[in-house]
Amino acid sequence: MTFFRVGGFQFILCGMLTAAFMLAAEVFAQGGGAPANPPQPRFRFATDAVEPIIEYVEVQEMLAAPDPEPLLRVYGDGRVHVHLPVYMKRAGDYELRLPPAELDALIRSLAQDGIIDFDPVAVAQGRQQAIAQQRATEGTLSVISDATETVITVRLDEYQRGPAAAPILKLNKRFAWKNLQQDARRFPQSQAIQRAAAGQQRLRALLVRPDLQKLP
Amino acid sequence: MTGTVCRRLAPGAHLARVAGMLLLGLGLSAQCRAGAYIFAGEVNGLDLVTHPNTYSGTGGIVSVRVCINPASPDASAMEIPVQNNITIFNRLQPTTGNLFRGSANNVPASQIDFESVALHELGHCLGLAHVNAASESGQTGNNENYTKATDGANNVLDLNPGPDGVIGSQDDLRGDDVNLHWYRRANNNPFTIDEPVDSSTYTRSLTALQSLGHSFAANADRAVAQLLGVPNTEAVMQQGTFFDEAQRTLAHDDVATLRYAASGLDEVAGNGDDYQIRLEYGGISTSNCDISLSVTATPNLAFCEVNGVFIGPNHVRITTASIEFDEGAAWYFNTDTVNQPPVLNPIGDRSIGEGQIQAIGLAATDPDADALQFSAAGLPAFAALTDHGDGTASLDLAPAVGSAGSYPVTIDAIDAGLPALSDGETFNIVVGESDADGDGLGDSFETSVLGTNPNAVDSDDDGLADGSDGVVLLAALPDGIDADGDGFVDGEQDLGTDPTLADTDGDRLPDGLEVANGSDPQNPASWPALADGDLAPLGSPDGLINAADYLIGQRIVLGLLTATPLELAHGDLHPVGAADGDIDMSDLILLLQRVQNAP
Repeated sequence: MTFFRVGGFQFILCGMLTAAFMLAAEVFAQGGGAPANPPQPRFRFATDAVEPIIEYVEVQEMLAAPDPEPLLRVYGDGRVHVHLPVYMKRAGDYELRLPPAELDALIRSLAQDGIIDFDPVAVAQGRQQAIAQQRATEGTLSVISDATETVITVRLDEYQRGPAAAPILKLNKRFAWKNLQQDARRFPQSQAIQRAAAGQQRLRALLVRPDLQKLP
Repeated sequence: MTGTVCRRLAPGAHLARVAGMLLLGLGLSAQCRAGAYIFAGEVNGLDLVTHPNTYSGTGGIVSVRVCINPASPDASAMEIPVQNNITIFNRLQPTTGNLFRGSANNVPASQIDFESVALHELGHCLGLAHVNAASESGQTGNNENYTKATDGANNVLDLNPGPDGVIGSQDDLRGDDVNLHWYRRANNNPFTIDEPVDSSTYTRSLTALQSLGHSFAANADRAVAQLLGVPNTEAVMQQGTFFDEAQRTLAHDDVATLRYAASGLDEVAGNGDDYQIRLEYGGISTSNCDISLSVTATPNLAFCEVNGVFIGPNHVRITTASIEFDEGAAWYFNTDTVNQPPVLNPIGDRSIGEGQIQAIGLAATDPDADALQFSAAGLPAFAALTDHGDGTASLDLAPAVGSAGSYPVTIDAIDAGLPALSDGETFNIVVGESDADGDGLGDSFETSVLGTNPNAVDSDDDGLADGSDGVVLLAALPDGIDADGDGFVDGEQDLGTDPTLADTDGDRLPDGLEVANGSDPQNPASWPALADGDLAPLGSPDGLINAADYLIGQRIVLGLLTATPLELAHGDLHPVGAADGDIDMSDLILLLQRVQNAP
């Protein structure tokens, strides 16, 4: 019998399951295989304003007819377009322009947040195991009633996670996760979720920048 | 049509996935969860029923304290909507027509009704799940409106709306999907409710549908409502709200699901483990709160985060529940309080006689100034209710002869609020028989039973009132015809006198005179000792004492006349105070003295 701890929860498992479970738990803790201190990524993107290089969407599942338009679109020329649906207090369309250095830093931070390299299957697997563990050890069940799905799309001409990684051409990464902020609270042991939630907050901060100009 | 569901995790090359799949094999994986009761599903149990946090298996009142987090920027504005929600849950009154969109509500265009969304989230915090597949099924668009189910053995939701083409209805074809929605056995109609609500009337098993000819449990979606003839109705627990939409009252399915849980761990209503949910408003506070509502910077529009623990096989108790709302959303905070019941002015029992008419004025008021409607139950044929449409009405009574009796009647004043509320009173209309002569005896009773004259208090003119429970002289009725106050008319029935004959025993002394003076009105040999000497005119004394009386007395003494009881009653003067039953010289002497002393 093996006895070990992940994120403050104790597991007791037997036989052949143990090794596999330990691996999944390890992945959950590390964040989908991403190292804790990733090397500086290298990337290249189109500097025109044709297709956004970053899109941010919140899918409100409570709503029968949510506005499908992204809340945030960031273009390669630094233009940031914010669209707040009609049912928001500040409903309307806004713009601002990011200087090249700030745009570069934003993409870099999303990479360091693990958004670009996020492995949803592995992280979800670890999440499920943590839930099962919680149920087994504490008898506790947990539900978030009406989810919001965070969808972040990153489009780059070229992306290289680190010097040792193979470069990816025409990267079109779609990150999608439900109840990201709640999971960040619930699973503090998951670096992947913690970093993704930080990335989400980074993008949400753009929605309330004081230098946004409302479009007519 | 099929759809993916539950976001099952495909096996992959990554070792973590391998580990996960092994755990999937142990039944620890399925991400799909929730059902008619929150937490129900493949992992925790298909038949799982969830209870509020203060229920431990012992029956009685289950109090749930609901608070507003003081840190909420709109805390004050939240108070009325939250208190309205509490009232609605405490009333547990099913409604139809509970969807109001656009100009039919007071929600400004482009705003989201806080009260409606809070009602939904509070439902989750009390243990209810979505009635429909909802977003957690992995479906999108209209497919989210299929009835809550798990995906069955094929791990895929089978989605076919059936011949009627309406998603979520009774003829949906769901393959091997396993129903999670508790439905009414009798009709599978979520817009009705049974009584009692427990396992005898509701089930999750589809076998009960066979006798109905249905293929799957119907859920209380608005399209299904339209199909079943109850438009603009939807369960509060159906996921999917529109902005500029108000849905502030519960539908039948919401009430039934809460009441089913309230039948306790045995799922049988009417015994010791039953409970009643009682929500209490804890104000803007963080103290002793079972459910807390907060407006925060959450990306979610609104959600309830619920935790629970098992308290028995297939029964879970909520341990913590909190609701958050996105501070960036354009919430509309309703300022109208939830509908209050009208107040009907007291009516009280009413009495009326046959053949009479009476108009009873009715009036009611409503604290919300809602329009009011009057209704009556148990009205006899001689009564008619007229609703004036202004909060007043009249109940017109016109009982015909033969209508005598007591009629319990219920009058209700019903308001136009939602849910409609009423105030009512049950009272008696007491119809007495008609009594033309006012002797307290119904006319038909006098005619058909007593044989007396319904138009005369003293039908036989004997000095006794017609009546049934005693004998009293008319002259001795200072308080009316029921001098003894026993509720019955005083009369001559008890002594057996004939109410149609003035002199029942034929002794020429009226029954009333005999009774008043202590003789037997049925015995001709019994007469009163009047001893007043009033003998003339013969056979009908005139109340005067004079020579005519003496002459008659003399003729009796001389044997020229035979004294009848009438003459003996008046003329037997001696011995004084102890009449001897004849009229002789001694009586004549005393009579002469009276004549001489007469004025």
